[in-house]
Amino acid sequence: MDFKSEYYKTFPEYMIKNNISPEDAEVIAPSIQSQEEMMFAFIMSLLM
Amino acid sequence: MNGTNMQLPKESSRKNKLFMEVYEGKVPERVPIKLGCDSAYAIEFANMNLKKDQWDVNKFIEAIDIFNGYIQSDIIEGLGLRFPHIYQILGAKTFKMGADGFLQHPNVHGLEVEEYDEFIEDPYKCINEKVLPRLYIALDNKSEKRSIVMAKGYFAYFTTMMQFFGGLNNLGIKHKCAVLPGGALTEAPFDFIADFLRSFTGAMKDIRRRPEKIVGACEAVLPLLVKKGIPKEVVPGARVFIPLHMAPYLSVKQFEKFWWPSFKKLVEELDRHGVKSDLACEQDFMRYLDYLQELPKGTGMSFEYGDPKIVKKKLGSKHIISGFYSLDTLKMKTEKECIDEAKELIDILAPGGNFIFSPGKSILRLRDAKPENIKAVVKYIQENTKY
Repeated sequence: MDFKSEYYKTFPEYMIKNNISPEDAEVIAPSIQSQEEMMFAFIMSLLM
Repeated sequence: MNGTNMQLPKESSRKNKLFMEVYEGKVPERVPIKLGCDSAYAIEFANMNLKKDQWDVNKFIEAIDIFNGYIQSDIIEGLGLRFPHIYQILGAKTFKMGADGFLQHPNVHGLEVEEYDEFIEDPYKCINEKVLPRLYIALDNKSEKRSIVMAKGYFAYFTTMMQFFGGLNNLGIKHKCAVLPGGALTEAPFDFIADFLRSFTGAMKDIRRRPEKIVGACEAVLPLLVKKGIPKEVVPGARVFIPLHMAPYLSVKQFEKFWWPSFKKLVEELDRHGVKSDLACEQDFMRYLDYLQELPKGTGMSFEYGDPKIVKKKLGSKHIISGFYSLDTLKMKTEKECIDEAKELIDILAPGGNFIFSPGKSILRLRDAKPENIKAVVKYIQENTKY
């Protein structure tokens, strides 16, 4: 049950937009995607 | 498994096991206790000034240390999730400090009725563009200033949470309490819409005037609430807390149409991700027991009011039951009377397991419950409820 939003990117979407190669993705993904997830958690927490 | 990756004292491990066995559907050594005391209670117990001292996370932790040294319960009590400096930075309308320092939730809304379609199209975008700047007025600014305020709020939130929960874990070890894995918090879709988006009064009007829009909004926001409910690490014992607000204010017909379908999907989807839910059934849920019966096995359910015998009979073999114990008892009666009432409730709910002792409501303020009564009930349960 994933959601799509103009304001949220999954890492595969981020890879395409930023021309990240599959070889580099493995090391880049944890540092980048965790920030997206933390911002999501913060924003949602403001409405609870 | 614990929430710290640290070696736990033997007594902490023993208390962890009490909870973990209940979560696994096993009968534990004795009845575990979760009191649900708020950090405001701990601050007042420690003779601190709620209005001033809650601005300092270290004061929170100091107060929780003092309070837990006194009650010696099974988990650290004094959980607080609302820190005033974060709301101050963001210019919050969602939580306002009352004259005595307690944070109150006014009846505010961030989504206008004519914006339902926009919300349904992309809820997260609508939250960012429309809802947040209305509810957090420091964000209602040109983009450069807004991004600076957002950075301050975000940084304050995560540094505070890390400091607070790190402190709680250390206190868990110090006071030989259970230290359980970190969990998550989410809401029922209808409650989420009613809390801050449309407000209580707005949502109640919408179910009459815009019924299809509110159903659509609940469906649209469901994936966000599933995502919010998944803990950072999905490990055994990491559960999601879901306070349930609006169902008691609806008729059964309204409940079936507006509240239940998206809520049931939420709990089932979380369960598919390996996450069990702990529901706080606020007010009276007795009309809805047959619905709750349908939820995945091992769902935790804490009740404020109702008949514990009927709840045990209908739900007790499938779900984990808590609550019912009256705060008025802890507030007004003698230690002996408090123990007698706890004993009566335990005799009904404990047989066969699937039970965690807790009061029906959170213990928010010092005036809500006498500390000596809480301590007496905790001691009684720890010494007298072996299976």
